[in-house]
Amino acid sequence: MKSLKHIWFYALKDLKLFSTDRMALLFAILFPFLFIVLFNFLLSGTGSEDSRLELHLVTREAEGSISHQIIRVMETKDESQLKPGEPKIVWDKDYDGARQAVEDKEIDGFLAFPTDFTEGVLMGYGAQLEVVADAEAVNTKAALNGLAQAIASRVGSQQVATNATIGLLVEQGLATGEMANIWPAMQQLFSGQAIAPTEESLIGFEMEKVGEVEAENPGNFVISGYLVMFVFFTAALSAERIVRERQNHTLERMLASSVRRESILGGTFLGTAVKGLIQIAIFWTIGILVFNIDLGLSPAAVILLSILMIIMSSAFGVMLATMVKTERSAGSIGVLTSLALAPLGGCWWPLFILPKWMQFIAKITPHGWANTGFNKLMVFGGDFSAAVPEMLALIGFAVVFGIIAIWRFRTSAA
Amino acid sequence: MSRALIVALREVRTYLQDKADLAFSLLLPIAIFALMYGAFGGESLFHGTAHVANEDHGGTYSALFLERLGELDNLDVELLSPSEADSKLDRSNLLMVVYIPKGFSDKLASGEPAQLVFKQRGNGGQEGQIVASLVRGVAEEMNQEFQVYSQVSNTLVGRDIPQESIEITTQKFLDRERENPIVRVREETVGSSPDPVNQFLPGIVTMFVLFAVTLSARAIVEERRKGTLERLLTTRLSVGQLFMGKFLASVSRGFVQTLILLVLAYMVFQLFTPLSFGASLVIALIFTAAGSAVGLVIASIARSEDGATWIAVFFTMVMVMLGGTFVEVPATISKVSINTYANNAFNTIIAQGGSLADLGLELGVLAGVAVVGLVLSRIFFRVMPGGK
Amino acid sequence: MAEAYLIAQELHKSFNEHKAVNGVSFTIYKSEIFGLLGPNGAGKTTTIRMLSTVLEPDRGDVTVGGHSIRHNADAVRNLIGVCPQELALYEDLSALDNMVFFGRMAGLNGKEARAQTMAHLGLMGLAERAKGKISKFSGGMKRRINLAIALMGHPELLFLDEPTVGIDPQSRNNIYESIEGLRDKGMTILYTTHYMEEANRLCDRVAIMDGGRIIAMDTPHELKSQIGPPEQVTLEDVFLKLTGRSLRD
Repeated sequence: MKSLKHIWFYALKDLKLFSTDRMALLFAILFPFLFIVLFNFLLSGTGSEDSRLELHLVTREAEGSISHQIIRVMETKDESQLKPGEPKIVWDKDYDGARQAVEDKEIDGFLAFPTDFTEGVLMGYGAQLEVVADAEAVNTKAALNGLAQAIASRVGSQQVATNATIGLLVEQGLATGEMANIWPAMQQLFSGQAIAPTEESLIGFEMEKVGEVEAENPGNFVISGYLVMFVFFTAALSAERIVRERQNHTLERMLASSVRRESILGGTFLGTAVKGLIQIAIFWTIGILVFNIDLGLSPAAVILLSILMIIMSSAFGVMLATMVKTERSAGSIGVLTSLALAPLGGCWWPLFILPKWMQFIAKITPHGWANTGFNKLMVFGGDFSAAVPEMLALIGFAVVFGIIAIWRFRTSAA
Repeated sequence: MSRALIVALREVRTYLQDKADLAFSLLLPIAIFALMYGAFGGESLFHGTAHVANEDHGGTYSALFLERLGELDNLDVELLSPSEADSKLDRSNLLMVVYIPKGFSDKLASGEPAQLVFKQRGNGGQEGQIVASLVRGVAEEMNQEFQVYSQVSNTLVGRDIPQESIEITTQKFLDRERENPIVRVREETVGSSPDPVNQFLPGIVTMFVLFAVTLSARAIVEERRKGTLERLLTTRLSVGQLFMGKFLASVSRGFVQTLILLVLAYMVFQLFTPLSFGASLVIALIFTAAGSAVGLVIASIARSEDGATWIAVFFTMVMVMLGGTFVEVPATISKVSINTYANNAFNTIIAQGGSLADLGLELGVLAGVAVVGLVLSRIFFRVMPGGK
Repeated sequence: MAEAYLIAQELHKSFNEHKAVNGVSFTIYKSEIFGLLGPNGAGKTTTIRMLSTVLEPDRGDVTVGGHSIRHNADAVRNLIGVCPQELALYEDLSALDNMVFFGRMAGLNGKEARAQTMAHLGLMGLAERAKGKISKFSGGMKRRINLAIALMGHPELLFLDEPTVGIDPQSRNNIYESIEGLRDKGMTILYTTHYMEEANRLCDRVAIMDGGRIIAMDTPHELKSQIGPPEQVTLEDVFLKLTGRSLRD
């Protein structure tokens, strides 16, 4: 009971100190909103890119070839007739011109049929479609590859039909001894004729447009990102306060008056956590009222995730305090760690616009897990269960930091 | 001047002797760079998620369709209930969902046409359009297989070839086609993928150096408060010399840090020629001078150590964010960041093989910041509160 | 016969190879001001830290008011107040906030803490500056607050570790009068100082430490008598004769 009181009074004292420190208040609460406003502006429109894909096709074959037939069928003659999501197919007449256009970044890429495409297919030795794309045009490259695979699949299946038919006829001829009877049919097949016409596709596609693409409110991911960063920052810098207690001997004074060291750690943790709670209350309130953010299907999950973020950050701050010797070190390490983890963990820009490999790195940071959880809940419409892995990860980080803090605390000299 | 140098040398010695400070100022940027380099893995590939609402539970063909979708390397499949999918589309959380309607497999099994439904917002977004094309591709492949069987059967009508033989043989040729397709696809990339070293190294180096030199403002404020700055004046050091000493100290510290990082980069990545290494050091010197001047401005205006820290952090964050260290920022906005100029300068030298002569603008801006910062901070610098 | 309030028996404390306290034993009687003198590095602060339960002795024990620091440290802490040599204050808080905080940490409820705060601030002549921020106080005022905090909770035994370092004569005099007043009210005080005239004025008995041991212990008058007529000899003379003139650190 006494220890709990000590923890509470210590936390109150810390909060009082925090409230008198105007710069700390400014930094923990006002500064983040400067960045939020800036990045709300910079990232507005994120997620609203919805222009129709434009895919360029080129053939190096002469007129009358299979490739000409294929492109003629696929080419978009009237864009207004395209269904939503259907790409626009453009027929570029000149290979070298198309290549130059890619190098000059006028187009992102094209799909080319080689000079021996028809021959290769009909003679059976195969052909190679060429996807030429700019190194950074990841989406176009994927779309062209998809198109190329579709063409390859269609041509290939024709060949399969022909070859299977021929194979079966040969097998029948050999079995019955009547090769002569089936030979005319085979000749027709070899020449590309006499295979039964392709029936209508069994699998069709229906497009249903439910509305237009609405730009994501950038506040939904910007505010959560800066909340994560500044809660962690404030907590990391609480390590300075503990070290300051040691250096200015108020720690010793407290120890001499029956305050346990565990109470001091607990009080620091609690004070830091309460500061974090104040921060999240302000962030979310202003976020909802001013920036019109949407807490998603499960606001409770958002709040719980925020609280876990606070607990993890407070544990980190306490751990850091047990590891450093001087106030200067505490300050430097707290600042450096916070400023390094923030961009890596997707606090400055949303993780989902970053390449997969950067999203992978983010998982090393608690910030990455927190931001992923917030994005799932607030951007991608997840329910409570969607954010459970992230919640567990934050608990894991908090436990690790806490264990290290307790171990260091116990093994350090008085 | 020599006294100012003595002050500077003392700072550098302190930095090199402070193991924790040294470790953090060197190991952290190295660790971050190594992480980014290791995870970058070369070319970026498209990777999307197909959101599918399957109402055809237990259906053979819907299961086969989902299995084939899952086999695509660049696609994740997320299954949703129809109500969930509708809700997410409604709220614009998703832009495109593929619905497999009830009875899909039964229809296909009985040879009737069946449809996949794409519900989308607008065109489905960039990712949605590509995912849609991949989904169509898989569906088309299944379609082809149905059609192939049908075609072969229809062609061989009246020939008394057992259906079983048709199926077996057709399947054999389909498998062969899948393993060894008659039409292959070859990729050719125009232009180079961004080199992770050139892309991230300058940004990470400038980020950590700027952290260090601006945070050193804290130490000056601490010295002012404790009275050690004032004590230095009693050693016949003038205020001007003291000021220059602090400036040179910060520049030296930042320069030594950059030098060590660049040397390590040279040893690991063989990035430099002797000339380009020398040019990089010149850039490093001017950049740390600019950062140090800003640090001195901060030390001059901050009233407490904590205040100095906050201002330094704020400034550094803005510079790093707008300097394009991690993500490209519009050019008009990035111009306000000194990191932009330093990063561009390093890129010109390291990646593009340029020389100092090509860096007039960049070096001019950085030097200008250093000069203006020095002038401003000298005007505001006080050795003791309320003093000279 | 005066009652023994603090009994220190064979205290030993080493830090790595260095023996900071090497077999220190003494008794402090109730309502006595006991001086602990010694050159720098003699082991005074280490001894006080052990007595105030902040450091655990390697060997030996201390009883305070009948409670052993080894077996009942909590009970000891309830009886003591510590005024450390360094200013252990929160500079960004007011005098009132500092004292109420330490009072509450000492187990007082809010009302008691405030009442004692105002009383002790009054004793130190700082009642009007209760709401002033410590960072704005002069050195002397900070020392007085530092002492006032030690009085929160009405301790029976007070440890004063060089409480008048670096302050003006007026502030120092105020502190002397306060200490004498506390003694007269029954408080037992352990006082360390480098100012011999302080020890001479305030202390009922004095122990002189050097090299981790007590080398002399008696009233100031008796110690002076050991080397000459007490009215002609100063405590400083005694100190220098016993400890020598060479520097220790």
